[in-house]
Amino acid sequence: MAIFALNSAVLADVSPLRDLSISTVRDYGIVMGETVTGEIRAAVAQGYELQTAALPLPGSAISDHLELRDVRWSKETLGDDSVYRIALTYQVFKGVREPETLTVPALRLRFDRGGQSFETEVPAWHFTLSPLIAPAVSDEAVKLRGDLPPPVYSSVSHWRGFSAFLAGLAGLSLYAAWRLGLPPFRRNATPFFLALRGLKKLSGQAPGVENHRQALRLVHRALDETAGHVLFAAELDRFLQAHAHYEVAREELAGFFALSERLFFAAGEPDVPQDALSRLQALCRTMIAAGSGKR
Amino acid sequence: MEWLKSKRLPAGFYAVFILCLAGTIVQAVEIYRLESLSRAMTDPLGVVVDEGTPAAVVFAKAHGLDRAGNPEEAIRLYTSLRNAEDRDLRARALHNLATLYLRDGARRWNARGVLEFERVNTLIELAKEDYREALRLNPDDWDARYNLEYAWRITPPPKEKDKSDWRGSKSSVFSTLPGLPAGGP
Repeated sequence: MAIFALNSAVLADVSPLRDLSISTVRDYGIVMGETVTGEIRAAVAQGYELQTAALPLPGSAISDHLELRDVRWSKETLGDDSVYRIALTYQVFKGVREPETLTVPALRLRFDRGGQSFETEVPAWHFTLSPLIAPAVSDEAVKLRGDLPPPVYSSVSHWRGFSAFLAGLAGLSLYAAWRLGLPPFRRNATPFFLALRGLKKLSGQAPGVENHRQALRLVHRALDETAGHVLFAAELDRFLQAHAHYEVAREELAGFFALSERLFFAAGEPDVPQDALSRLQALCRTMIAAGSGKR
Repeated sequence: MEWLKSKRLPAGFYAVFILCLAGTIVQAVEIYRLESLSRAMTDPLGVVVDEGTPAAVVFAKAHGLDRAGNPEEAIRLYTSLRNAEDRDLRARALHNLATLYLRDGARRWNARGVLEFERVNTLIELAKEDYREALRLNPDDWDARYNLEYAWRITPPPKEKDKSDWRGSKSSVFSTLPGLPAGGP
């Protein structure tokens, strides 16, 4: 880093300007079109404000070969002083055949405090501009650099975004289905729906007393769940009063309880109707339909 | 987890759902636009350029025309991209425009030198201005830096003024001034 410091000793003790220096990251090997930044550090007595409106504007031509690209400044307090750092970035537009020293012109800074003000001049500073084309190469031998190809537009990042949002939508849809008991979850299916599903499975198995008992247990479980307690045949009236929408199935329910009585408690080998399973399935369908009508 | 058991969806669900839906639509539209653009750019010479033609397709056509040996039309199309909104595309167009000018200027300079002073000077100055603008937009364009330096190298020296062929026969210009007519007041 090159630093061009002004001797503070020459600044009078009473001067509000305490220190002034310029630094640049590199002041050599600069080439055509490159940007070069000079940072001015100005320490002034507290209370003095830099008049930033007086700074040159980005885009303005500073000299025949220099354009100002950017101006940034910051302020910090250091003891009794305010320290301003002003970074000025210039762009060089000059072609040279051999290294050449270019000058960044002096810059005037103005500081105000109340009614008082003072100006100071940041002295000119220099950097070395180097050629890009070897000096020994003749003009005729220089090979021009070619043109630029059309830009390539890739949709890969958008495909990624699309996939991510789509995955989000799918996840949210699944979540909503689970919450609302929609397919494929059907978590909130009525007890009779589950019983019907069990009955269908049983109908594919070999018929027998145990098979029918299992079928009856399924329907009993659905009724118990719907009633909120174990439902006995004697409680059917009370159940139908509490769940009036199931009134349509009164007869079927009575038949179900009678069948259950026979199958579970009758002495000897019970007499099971051939169509017991299909009647139980029909009962479940009636109960499902009655239940959905309520909803 | 009790809230999970309730059937109602939380309010935030709808906001996130709408966000995802909007994101999906935006991305899908962008994919469609880019795919259409890429398709058009694979055969740019077949594109009829009008006001609605995307700048990238205009650029691709200009590039293709230059390759096909029609630099004049390429210059016309690149020039139309001087004010393109896409900064990168604008910088590329200026770079290529400058290169077209410089290529022509260099060819003439190397072939005939100062004999084509006017033409070479105009072309080189146009190239320099466009390279400068391209570098303002993208200072890291090394090829533009290189070519601009070359443009500086071959900038013709100022042409000497033609000698005046006026030959006065009078010893003084005052002698040509008409005098006061005789008999005046």
